[in-house]
Amino acid sequence: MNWDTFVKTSLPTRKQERFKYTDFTFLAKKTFPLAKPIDPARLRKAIHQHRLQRGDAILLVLVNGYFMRALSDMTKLPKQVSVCNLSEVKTSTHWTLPIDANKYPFANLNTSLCTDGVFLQLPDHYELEMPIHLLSITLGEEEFAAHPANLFVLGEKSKLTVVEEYFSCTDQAYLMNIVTTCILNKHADLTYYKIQQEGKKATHFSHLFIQQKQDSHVRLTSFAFGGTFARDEIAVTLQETGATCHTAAFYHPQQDNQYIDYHVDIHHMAPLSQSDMLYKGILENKSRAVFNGKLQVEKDAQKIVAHQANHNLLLSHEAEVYSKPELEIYADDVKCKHGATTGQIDQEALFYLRARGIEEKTAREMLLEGFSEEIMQRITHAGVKLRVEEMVQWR
Amino acid sequence: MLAINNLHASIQDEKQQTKSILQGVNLHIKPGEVHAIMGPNGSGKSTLANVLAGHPDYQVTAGSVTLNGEDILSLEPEARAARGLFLAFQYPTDIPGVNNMYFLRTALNSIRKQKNLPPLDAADFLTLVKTKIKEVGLNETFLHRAVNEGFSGGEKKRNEVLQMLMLEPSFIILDETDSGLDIDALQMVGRCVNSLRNGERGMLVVTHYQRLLDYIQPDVVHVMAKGQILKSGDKTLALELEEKGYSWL
Repeated sequence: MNWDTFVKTSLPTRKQERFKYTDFTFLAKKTFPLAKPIDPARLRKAIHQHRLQRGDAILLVLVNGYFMRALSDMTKLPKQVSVCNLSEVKTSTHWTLPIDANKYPFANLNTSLCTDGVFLQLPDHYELEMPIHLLSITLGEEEFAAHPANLFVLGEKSKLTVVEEYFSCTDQAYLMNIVTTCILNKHADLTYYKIQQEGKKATHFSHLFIQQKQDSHVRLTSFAFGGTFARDEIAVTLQETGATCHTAAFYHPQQDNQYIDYHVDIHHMAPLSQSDMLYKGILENKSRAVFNGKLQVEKDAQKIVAHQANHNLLLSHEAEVYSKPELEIYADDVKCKHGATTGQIDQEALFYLRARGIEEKTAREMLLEGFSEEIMQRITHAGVKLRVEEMVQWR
Repeated sequence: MLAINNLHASIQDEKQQTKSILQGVNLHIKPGEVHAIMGPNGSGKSTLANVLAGHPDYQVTAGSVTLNGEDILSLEPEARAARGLFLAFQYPTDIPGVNNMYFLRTALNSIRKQKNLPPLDAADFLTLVKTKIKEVGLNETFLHRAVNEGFSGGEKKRNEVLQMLMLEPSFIILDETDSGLDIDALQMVGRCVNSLRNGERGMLVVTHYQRLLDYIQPDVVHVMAKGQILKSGDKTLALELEEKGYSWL
């Protein structure tokens, strides 16, 4: 399938439940030619400036969706860790998960047009201490589309931290359409951070498909700041007993017409599995955000615990948020709870701080920081914390 | 020190109707004096406390308030705090995600900045706050929690007193600080407030009950009803109110 066929046959409309908050006609006008590889020499300086400032990390760089070994820390990789271009393993791989084209039309498009991506595999019992910093950079003077696909396979009892970051050096409109798949074998442990700060005119589609075997653990924390349109699809399948997945995000759309969307599906297929969703957003100006959290519990998935929460602060009367929790529970012995709030800055709290001598501007900043703190404190890597703190700026 | 003249204030209710609450309050407090205000529910005591601190929900429609000769009604709440005004809240708000110690330090240094004093450095601040938190009977773990979040009623009031001790204000308003307190906590409030009493500092104690005044002996007692001061006297007036209630006034 190419872009034109996709626009004609597969571009979602508002009649589809999963896309009812989204008008995609703006994409129909685009042509989005596929991105071409870039000479790495142009980028050395920009890459160096974008390393995490604190703590060590192994940097893997993608430029316009192409994995650039020459810019990556290939020599820092321990020999136990296999890393290569996804294209090198694609034909022989048995890891690729089937994609539901109706549910995930853009992931399906990615499968057709995928140019490159990173494949990383950890052997059984191997714990990689240093995080993998998967840095995606975009640049160029013309519109383009990148469809990278990444695959992380964690062996039994292995441990991995990933920092997936998007950053742009161009003000040009482009489409970044990613599919990342994580396969966790028994007792594997994955800490995953995603930081999205695409260019102002970017369209960002991200799919994170996670499949978990027995007693594996995932801790996902996502941050979204950039792009004009950004949608994160997170789909987790807890396939076997005792698997746990804790997901959270903080989103902060600031510009007029900026749109940020989190669609999270967690599917409990086995007993004693646990999950939670904690999604918080601060919206400014005429921006919009969507949270759609779906929790599905199969009949045999007894004794599970699942929480879902979505909280939003609107700093402007023109900002809009759509919050849609969905619970589909077929088991009878489960503990599930969900809640959603949307409101303005707490005026009583603001007065309390001011009555103690704190200037209004500082007091507001303290309250906004306080609101996001619950998500920020999940970050255990000093370099990631600093990076996110730099991006969270209140006006 | 604090001069309130013919103060009128109103609030908008849920139906956007303007409701007049203070209807000509006159009150003069000299340096070093402690005044108590008693009165039935809905008489305007808490409104007076909040208007003095600059709560944005209240509109002052007439009258004046000066602190040491300066008009404070035109000042923002933070500027009033910098002039030394402190309100211990009746219902302190929780502030999730804002660390109590960070809050105390920001408040203290913000007031110091407005007074053109250099900020207190981290080590000096820590020594100070550790001394003061002992005085209010809170464990040091409360410094590392979010402001008032999950605190019991009594712990919130102790946290108010901690802020008062840290900021050393020159004029203190206690808005029903005694409500919901057990005897031990009440004694602590009394002890801490008395430790701040001196020839310079003024205080206004709003309370329902005479009990608090056993610990904080007032120079003057006022009775407020229907938005006005109806009667003033010495501390025996509080005892008389305790005995007879408010209906005889």
